[in-house]
Amino acid sequence: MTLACFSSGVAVARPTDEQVEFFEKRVRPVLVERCYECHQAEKKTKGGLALDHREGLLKGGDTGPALVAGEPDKSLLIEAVRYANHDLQMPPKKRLSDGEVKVLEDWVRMGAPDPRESGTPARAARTIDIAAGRRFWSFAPLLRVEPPEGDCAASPIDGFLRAKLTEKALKPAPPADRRTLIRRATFDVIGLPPTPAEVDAFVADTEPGAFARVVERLLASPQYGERWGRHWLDVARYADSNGMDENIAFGNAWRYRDYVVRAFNEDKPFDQFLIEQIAGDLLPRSEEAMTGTGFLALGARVLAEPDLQKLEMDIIDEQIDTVGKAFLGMTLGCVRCHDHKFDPVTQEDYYALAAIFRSTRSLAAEKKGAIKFWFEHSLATPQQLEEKTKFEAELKEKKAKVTVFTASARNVVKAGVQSRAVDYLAAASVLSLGAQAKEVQWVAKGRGLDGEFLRRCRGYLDAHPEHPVFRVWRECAQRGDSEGVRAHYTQVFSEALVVKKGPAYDALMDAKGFLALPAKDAEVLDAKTLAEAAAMNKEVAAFELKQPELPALMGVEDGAVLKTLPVHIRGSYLALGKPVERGFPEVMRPVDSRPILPAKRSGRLELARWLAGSEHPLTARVLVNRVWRWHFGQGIVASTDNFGLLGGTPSHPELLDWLARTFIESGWSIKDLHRVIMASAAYQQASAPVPSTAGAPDPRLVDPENRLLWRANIQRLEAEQIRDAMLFVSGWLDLTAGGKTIPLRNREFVFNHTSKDATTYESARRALYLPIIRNHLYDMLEGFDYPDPTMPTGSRNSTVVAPQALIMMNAPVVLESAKRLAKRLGWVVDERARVQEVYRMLYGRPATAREVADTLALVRDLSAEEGDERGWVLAAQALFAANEFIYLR
Amino acid sequence: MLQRSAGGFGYLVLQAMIARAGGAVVNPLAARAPHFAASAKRVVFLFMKGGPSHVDTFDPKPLLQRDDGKPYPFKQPRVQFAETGKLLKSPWSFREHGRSGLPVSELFPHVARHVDELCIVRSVHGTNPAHGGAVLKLHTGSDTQVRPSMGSWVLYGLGSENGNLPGFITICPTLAHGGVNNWGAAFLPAHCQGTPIGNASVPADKAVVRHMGGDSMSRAVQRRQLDFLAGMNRGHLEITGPDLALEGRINSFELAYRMQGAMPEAQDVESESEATKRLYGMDHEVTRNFGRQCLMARRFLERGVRFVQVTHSDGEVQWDQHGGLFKGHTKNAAEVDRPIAGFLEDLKARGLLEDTLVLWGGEFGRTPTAQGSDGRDHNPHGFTMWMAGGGVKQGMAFGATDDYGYFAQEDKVHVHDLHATILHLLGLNHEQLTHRYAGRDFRLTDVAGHVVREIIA
Repeated sequence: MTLACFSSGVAVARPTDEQVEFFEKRVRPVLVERCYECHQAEKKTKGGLALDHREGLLKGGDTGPALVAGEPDKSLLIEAVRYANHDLQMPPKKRLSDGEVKVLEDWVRMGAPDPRESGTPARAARTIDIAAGRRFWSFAPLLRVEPPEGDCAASPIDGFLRAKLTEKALKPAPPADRRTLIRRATFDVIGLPPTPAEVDAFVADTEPGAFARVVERLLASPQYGERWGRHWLDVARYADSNGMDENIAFGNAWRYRDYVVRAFNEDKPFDQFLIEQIAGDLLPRSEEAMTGTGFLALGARVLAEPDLQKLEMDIIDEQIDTVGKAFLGMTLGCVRCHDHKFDPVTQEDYYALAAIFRSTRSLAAEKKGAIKFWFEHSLATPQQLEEKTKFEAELKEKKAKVTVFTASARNVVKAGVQSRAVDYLAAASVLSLGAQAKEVQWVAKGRGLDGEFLRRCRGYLDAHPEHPVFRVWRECAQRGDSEGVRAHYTQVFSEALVVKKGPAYDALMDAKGFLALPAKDAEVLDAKTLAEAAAMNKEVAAFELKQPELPALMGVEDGAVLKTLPVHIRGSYLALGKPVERGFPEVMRPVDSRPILPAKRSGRLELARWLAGSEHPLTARVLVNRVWRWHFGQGIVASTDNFGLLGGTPSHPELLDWLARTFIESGWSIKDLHRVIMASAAYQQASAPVPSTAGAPDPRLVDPENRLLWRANIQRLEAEQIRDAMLFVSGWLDLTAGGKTIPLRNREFVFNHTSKDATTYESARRALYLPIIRNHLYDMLEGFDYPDPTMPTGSRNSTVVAPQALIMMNAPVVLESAKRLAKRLGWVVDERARVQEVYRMLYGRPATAREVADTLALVRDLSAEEGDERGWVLAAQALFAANEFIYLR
Repeated sequence: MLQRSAGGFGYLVLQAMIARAGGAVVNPLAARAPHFAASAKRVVFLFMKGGPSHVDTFDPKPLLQRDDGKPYPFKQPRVQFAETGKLLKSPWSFREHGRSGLPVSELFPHVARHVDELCIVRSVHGTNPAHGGAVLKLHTGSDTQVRPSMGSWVLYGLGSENGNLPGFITICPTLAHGGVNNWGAAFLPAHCQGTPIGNASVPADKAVVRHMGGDSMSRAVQRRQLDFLAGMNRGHLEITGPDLALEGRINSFELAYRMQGAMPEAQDVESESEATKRLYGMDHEVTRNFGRQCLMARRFLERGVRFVQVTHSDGEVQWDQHGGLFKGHTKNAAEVDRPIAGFLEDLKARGLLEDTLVLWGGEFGRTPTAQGSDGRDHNPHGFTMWMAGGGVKQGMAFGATDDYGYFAQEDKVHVHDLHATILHLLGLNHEQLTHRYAGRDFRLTDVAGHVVREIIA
């Protein structure tokens, strides 16, 4: 529209010779020297703007035409170079000189005559081909595949896997021995080691179906949900505090955590689980479903962001990014500022989703200073509300008492200062202009005055050179006549205080006048009064801590519904593009028709149902791949959170789709998925490489990363498993489930400016229940690759670094576990039997004769150094540190 | 070359492969060559938490002095942290120092003696006017999402020159306002994260690295444990077959053991001469704590630690003088002035200043307009940071704020530009130092940043 109008109006007009000369001599040099670096068609066109040819200027960049010929005041180019709008300043590093600005203004005013030939048009913007996008493997509909027929395959999974192995002439590993298998399965399903009795029972069970019975026992254990719920909490970037700029306690996040544990233990269908997390508040009212919306509320936010509009869009961005990664394996956050660089997702798609979240309330109405709070659903009863009101009234009263106390103390000081008004004026008159702090202090001290008050007094007088009351002061000060000051004002003030009116009286009483007290009590009151006030404040603070906490759920609710939201150019709400209707990303819809969303609702429920639909190409694929990753240590698609073009491709695409389809057919049952996977020979095979027979290829060379699963992966335990296992074998672990475990009040500062850590991790509960403080994770967890709880993580790292060794060598939790383990072993009197017992507890196997001898030698040496009791403790510590303890074969 | 996959198993293998270089050492942090010749080998960042006022320290504004009490004649920022009132002149006077004649306020008489070595950048600007956002922006380049901190990027690019000490150390950092994220590795490999020594609530002489041990058992006992452990792990390897991670882990205990010896030695500032301790102000109550931090920093730098941060903070409001500017800034400057001057002098005397980049500053500056009668608000729109050593020009002031010090105006240096320049001085191209995560390549400078070539010697 704009472009057409200009090309007809201006571009056609041929510039006169004078105009050409003006352009060439004055305008072009400015453009070349100051603008081309970033705005030249064939090099860089920042913001989509090219200034090296006529069309570029007229068409403009992302924010519209750069100039309106003849009207400098309406031209963005001129606005930018004038540097008056702080959000639009060009050139960004160094403003043009006034002369250069004027040249450009004059030029635009004369109609922006431009003799330059048309340049190369700016590179055509990349367009996204949705139809082609839909053919990409992850957006294509689920395949209907039958597992290949295999020889004696234990499960259809093995059929798929063996077909690929055979292609490479590889063979799967033999089954793992039973001790190895039960250790692997028990850690995998419940996150704890098997007891020696459980190992013995499995080894002794010669009936068919022995392993299936172990799996069923584990899946039925309440500890199952604590292990697998924890996997989901990684994806949900769960935490008990905000982190980011201000670290404030999420005092109610635990309700979401416990909800997730329950969902896994009850085998809640995953489609329902998904819908509740995005729109549980919109389902028929159920507290349980609503708890799920904590998922949208747990993000790390810049709570002190003063730009509220930006904050709201930042929150929406975090929500879209998390939903995208968690359920779709898509990096939708990339699309806030521009069409996705790699995936077929447009900015329109993003703002169609953003419109849904913009119609959702994520922030609470109340705030604390600069800090905004997240939304919560109240669960408070009327009685609880009443108690709270009563408490608040009482608190207000107590606070008022302190205020009265300090106010009256300030009044005493003020009266004192007023009584010496003349002395202050006299002293101020002898100070030199712009006196240094030292001089002020010296003058004040000599007269028994307060230096700070004197400094302010003189500052006030200097800042009010016209004040009539101080005319005489100025005259006297000029000639250094402090006695004159004294004589004059002694009389003036004493008269004023009698009549209690007039300019001199007003000046004396002015709270912001020459005798103004500093706002801070600390700079006004004496030590004793301050101490008294501090004591009173402390009492109030102690009382305030008893404030009853109202139960609430973190979550979201529908807000004012926006049917459309404009595209935000480069992600900024200050540059709005065309409005977009609420909707879902086009490439993930099989047809081009748009969803019709309710006019009076946000559309979140419809979004959730669409995501959880069986036709959605991504949801089931992403989930079964996650579960596969958590069992095997690597996914069929290695990038569990990215199914886009830059993500990995599936090593076994048919298997992935077969699993996804089977999963949906089972009613989205995750426990059924475990059963299917764990029944496979692939899950049960050994990790040790089989010596290759002559002529056969060495699998380590053919497939070094074991993508084809020719053996089981050796996996390191995750942070929680290591810690829980130590507590478990030492008899220390407390298996109490659920409840609030963060020792902070809701919305309390975890860290204010004092950097004092109020959180402790001394609990013996499972690691799942330890506080997850963003910005300051428990070191035992952090050290062993606990993921950053601000981003969804489907695949934890498993690093080997020296600080982990330091933890095993020195962390109190390791030493204490070792101590308890040594004590627990005390009942075994015979030393050799004791060594056997500890190996069975830690590694699920008896010790060899050599190991018994080595261990006893260690105990002897350590006892000799540190005493008998410590010998076993330190030996137990070394056994915890061993690879065999923290790796699964 | 510098790109690594971040996820799962492949990552583990790669880690261990790096760990096995030469078949014996576990050190994924081994020093690596930069992209091009570097003028700085290491960085020390003296971070003044809370936001020191530039118009009261290194950016004198005569018009601000003249127009005290008058309104700011230009438009104030669209988004402000809080309302501010009229212009407030600086209660401190400035004087020209050194051959360069650069002005420094009377708050920094000792640093002023070194003004001929400083490159004072007066046109730094960021985006976020709140502490948390601004601290994160300065340390990680992002105030909206968790990103690796600059120290982590430097370590990622260059590795470390001392295998027995962490390559990125932060001394007494503040746990508020971004906390760990300010020295975290985010999605970079875990070994790139900073190692904190104590935190801002701990006095420097009590600051230790967690789990560095020492108290719970003797070195000899630990040695005996580790020998046993190595035997166990070798036995286990026989069952599992060759495995890089398992072998790497055996070596990681040996490295940990060596670190336990190296760290206390590096931290032992008491072994320095009395003259050196005095130089850092350790003989005086006011300067003792920060002096100790700086001296510790020097000991780390000379032992090849790549990036050291020293935070000046306290249990109160740090440099955040919304009120009590005179008293607060006087106290803060007094605490750091002598130690910083001593630190510069010592680095120079030891020949370390040449290839060590010293960076000084806070997360933002302060407004020239007043809060109350004796305070200034946050100002990310224009503020001062200075650098020294490491190949920056000396005795130079670069860039300028407007006549009152509100907005950066001449030769503006965005935080991204600052990062690009720091990396450049270290021989790293900020556009090439990338890491692939979640489907795209990330940089410290996001999609922005220009090297400020004018300040490079």
